[in-house]
Amino acid sequence: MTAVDAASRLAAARIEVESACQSLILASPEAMRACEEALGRAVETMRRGRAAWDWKSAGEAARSEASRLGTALRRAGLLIASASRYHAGWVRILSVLTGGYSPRGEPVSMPDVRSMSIEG
Amino acid sequence: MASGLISALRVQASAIDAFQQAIAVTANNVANASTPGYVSQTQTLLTMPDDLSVGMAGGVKAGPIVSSQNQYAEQNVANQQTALGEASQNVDSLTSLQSLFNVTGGNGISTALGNLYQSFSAWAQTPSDTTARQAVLTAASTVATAFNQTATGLDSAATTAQSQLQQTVGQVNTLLGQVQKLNTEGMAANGGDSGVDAQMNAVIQNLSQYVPVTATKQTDGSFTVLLDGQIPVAVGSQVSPLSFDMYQPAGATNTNAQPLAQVKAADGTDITSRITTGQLGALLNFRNTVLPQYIGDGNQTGSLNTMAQKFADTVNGILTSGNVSDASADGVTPAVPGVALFTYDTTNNTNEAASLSVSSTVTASQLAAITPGPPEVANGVPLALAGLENPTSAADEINGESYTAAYGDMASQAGNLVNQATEDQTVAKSALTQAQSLLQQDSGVDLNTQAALLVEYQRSYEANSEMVTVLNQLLQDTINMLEPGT
Repeated sequence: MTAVDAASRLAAARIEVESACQSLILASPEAMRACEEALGRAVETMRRGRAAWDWKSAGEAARSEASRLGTALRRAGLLIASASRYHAGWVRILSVLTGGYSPRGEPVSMPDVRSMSIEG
Repeated sequence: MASGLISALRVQASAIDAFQQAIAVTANNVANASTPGYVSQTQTLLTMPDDLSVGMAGGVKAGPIVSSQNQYAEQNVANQQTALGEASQNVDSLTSLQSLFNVTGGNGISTALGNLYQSFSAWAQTPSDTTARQAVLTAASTVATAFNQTATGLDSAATTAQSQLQQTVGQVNTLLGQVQKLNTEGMAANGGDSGVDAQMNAVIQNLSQYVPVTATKQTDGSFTVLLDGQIPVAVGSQVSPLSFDMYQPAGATNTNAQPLAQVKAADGTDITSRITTGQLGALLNFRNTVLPQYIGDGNQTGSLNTMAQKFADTVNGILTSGNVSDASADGVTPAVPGVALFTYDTTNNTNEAASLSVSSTVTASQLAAITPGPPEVANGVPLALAGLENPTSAADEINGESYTAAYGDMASQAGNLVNQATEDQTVAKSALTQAQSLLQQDSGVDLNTQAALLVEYQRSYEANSEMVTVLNQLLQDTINMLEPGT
């Protein structure tokens, strides 16, 4: 494993994570599936042949790529958190809108109805 | 089935966002009505008969839910506008700050210090040489000018920030005026008008760039706007404009220091500490926290002033401990002591960097080169001064390092702040686009479809979070292996 190999491996993982970030921006169900696939490829890229890599000789280019990958990962983590927070918040509001609060102040489960839809 | 779905979703959501617990425990508190995200029960679900002719298996009429979801999604966009406003302002302000700390160009404090140390070394080689002494005076003057220019630049940044604060508060008040006008129109339409609502949402999004606000539509068609979720700035046809002024904190020890900025509510209450995000929050932080670290305020000297004062005192101390000439052997003619090189304003310790200068009365011939000892050293003073570049004693250091290194730290701190702000801005732009996307996607989706989607989303968030965690671990292992010497 040469220094170029290590840097290019990290760069390949970063490109996948950046692609995942683009999917997270759209945040549609299809985009979220694409995000999972991209992150899965990034994991595979980082794991593949890992034991045989000579990271110590990788040099500055690899360190620089590692830093870029770290930045992309932080961004992905924040975007997952913001979308997750959004939907979790909506679930809570939806529960309250339909079921109200319990005496302990927690959202009450929606009534057991067979099927529901919204008009309006 | 639906109950199970929603209950399951709620459990999963709780695991991800503990915020829900915080809001739940005070749900019945009246004060909670102003907490962002709080809703009251507005809809009781009733099973309706199947109507296969329209392809709908049961269902409820749930207009308020759709309305609530739109408000929730709009608020999410507004929150991201606030984060982006803050990040963008930080990039602007901090980039101007970074430009004042030049460590690579041919000018600035770092270069000037390097040239002064070189002039001390050259003087040590020829301690009696007038040209070498004159070069010291010139280099010292350049150091003083570099401190002056940096301090002036920081003062100018403070003035610019003050002006921007004034303008931003004005823009907030202008937008509150638009909210007032639209509220009047909304109320006149007996409960609201979709066109007015759309205009209101646009105004709220605009307002959110500047200050953190939450907007809640009322049954009369108006929007109640709260600043930081607590301070009412628009209620019905009434608005409460903000005001801005500068003040010296109570108990300030540096009474001549630049004052700090404060924002007040309409009733005169100081709400500065409540505005920590948005463009206004970023400007307040830059003006009241970031800049004073360098130029000081009523209660601190500022690192640039501390450095200027300590450097001047150290150089002056070494020079005045030396002699220009020895005493005569018969003792009739006394030794001529050296004089101080630098002067600065000793009455205002937040003005030391800006006032640093080479004494107007000092001449090349008055620079002391001799350390009286014993043993006497003919070039002991310039050697000691040149040694400040790589100090060996704590007395010649500032914060445990050389002056050049300490200045480098100041510059790198500014650089790191810009880098962080730029990264925050990139994330904030993405998060805003995401929020706008979510606003578009979720509008008008029926509850069954929505419940299925929420389950899918939740599973996806957990899977993606797990993969990011795995990647982070792999990256951390890699970084450890990349470290030289590991």
